[in-house]
Amino acid sequence: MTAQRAASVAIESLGKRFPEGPGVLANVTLSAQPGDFVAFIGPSGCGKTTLLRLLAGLTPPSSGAVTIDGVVPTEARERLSFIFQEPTLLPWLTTRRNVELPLELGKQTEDKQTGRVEELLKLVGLENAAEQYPRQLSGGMKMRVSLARALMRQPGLLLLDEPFAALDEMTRNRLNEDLLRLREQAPFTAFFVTHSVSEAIFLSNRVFVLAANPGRIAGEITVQAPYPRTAEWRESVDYQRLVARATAMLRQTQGRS
Amino acid sequence: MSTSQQKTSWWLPPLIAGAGLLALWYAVIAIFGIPTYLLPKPHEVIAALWRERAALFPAALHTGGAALVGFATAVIGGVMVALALASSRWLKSALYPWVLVVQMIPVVVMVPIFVIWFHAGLRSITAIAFMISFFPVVASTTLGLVSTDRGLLELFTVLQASKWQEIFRLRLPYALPYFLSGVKIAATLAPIGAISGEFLAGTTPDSLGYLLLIYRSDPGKMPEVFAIALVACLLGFLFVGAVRWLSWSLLHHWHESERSGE
Repeated sequence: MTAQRAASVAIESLGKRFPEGPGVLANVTLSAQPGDFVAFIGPSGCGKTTLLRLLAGLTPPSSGAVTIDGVVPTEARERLSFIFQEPTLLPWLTTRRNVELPLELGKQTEDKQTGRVEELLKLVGLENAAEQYPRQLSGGMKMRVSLARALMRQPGLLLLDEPFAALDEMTRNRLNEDLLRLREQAPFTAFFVTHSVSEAIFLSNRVFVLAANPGRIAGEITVQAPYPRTAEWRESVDYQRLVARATAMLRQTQGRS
Repeated sequence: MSTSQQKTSWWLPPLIAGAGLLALWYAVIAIFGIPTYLLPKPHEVIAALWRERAALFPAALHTGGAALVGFATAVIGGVMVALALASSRWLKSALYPWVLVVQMIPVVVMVPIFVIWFHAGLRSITAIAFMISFFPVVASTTLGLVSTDRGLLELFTVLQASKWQEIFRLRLPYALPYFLSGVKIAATLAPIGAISGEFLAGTTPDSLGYLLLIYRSDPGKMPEVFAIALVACLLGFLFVGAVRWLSWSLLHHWHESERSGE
């Protein structure tokens, strides 16, 4: 399979409201270039998760539109991967079979990808857990399987919905570093939703701060530090300054709503 | 604890308790002077079992066969009905409550009806075993099929799985532990249903229930009645044991229900 190119994303005055509920998202407009790492931070109920679900075509928009490389999400599915809050592994499959799942399902049956599975397992450090079942794995390992599975199809767009929220800080930092390392292998555009300001600054080149009721963009912070970024990036003054700025912006929006 | 200790510890306590219960059985008979026609001694039951083997063995085979056929068709049919119920929200909400209601009909009521429909032979016994096994399988499998994890369903949507892949690769394996718990109930009920049916119908030849009718009319045959209880017990043990083994071999890799004692 030829590696897919990183996708571009265009979001045009996107809105989402559920019947007999308040608006979840209102008038969100932004566009992402191929290779952008976009993070969304914001208080609970600001529609972060809904935004990702709209991007994956898991729920239709109430107004406005989303396009991925110029097509609607439901038609761009082979170009995108979704990493959920939970690892969502099939408990009856081994690590290896879970990682292979995207090849067994859907339309990409013709590929022979055994080498790719081994490579991915090695990249996420699970080559020794290939024949283990999910219940034998720790929370961090399960998330690594989920990560490897998402990269199996070499996505142009990777959507991540607070994937590391349930992990301890050490594991979370390790996985953030791994995620950037994996992006060096096969570039993809990423949309990352998180509660953690430091995680957002560490990973992204663009951080959007969202406000709630209804969810909308309150501000954007550009992170100019070049990739590849490693753990040292967390020690830098630039990083600290940006975390402080994003935290202040987040506090401001919460005060307002 | 060492592994050899763990290996002996599972069968030793029930064995000791079993020997104790046998001793108690003898003691009660000796102390209260209970005659054989009320409570036979254990060795008399074994002797009766051996004496009547020519009648008991084919009867057990017939009863077991009828129970097995009824049980197997109930499992297959139950899964198919469960798939149909789970495929439509409307069907499920309309019919699932009735599945639970029909389960409440006692065998005693169904037996005369089935005897009228199918006559008193093994066919009506098979029908009873089917009827008693069918609803637990439908109820538990349907429950399993509709409670598939939402996150996994969305994963399959994002991965562009077809409707068939969603059923066979996700919903069915996810429902497997639910299905097996229904099958376990069915396996317990099927032989009981068959024997009760034979007993209540009264004219099913060469069956355990029919032999029970004959033996109990003769006060001297109390050991034979107990021998039937023993055979019925073994029959039930075969059914439940087979299902438990199946359940273990399918689930022990991944499901908590088969992981106790680790």
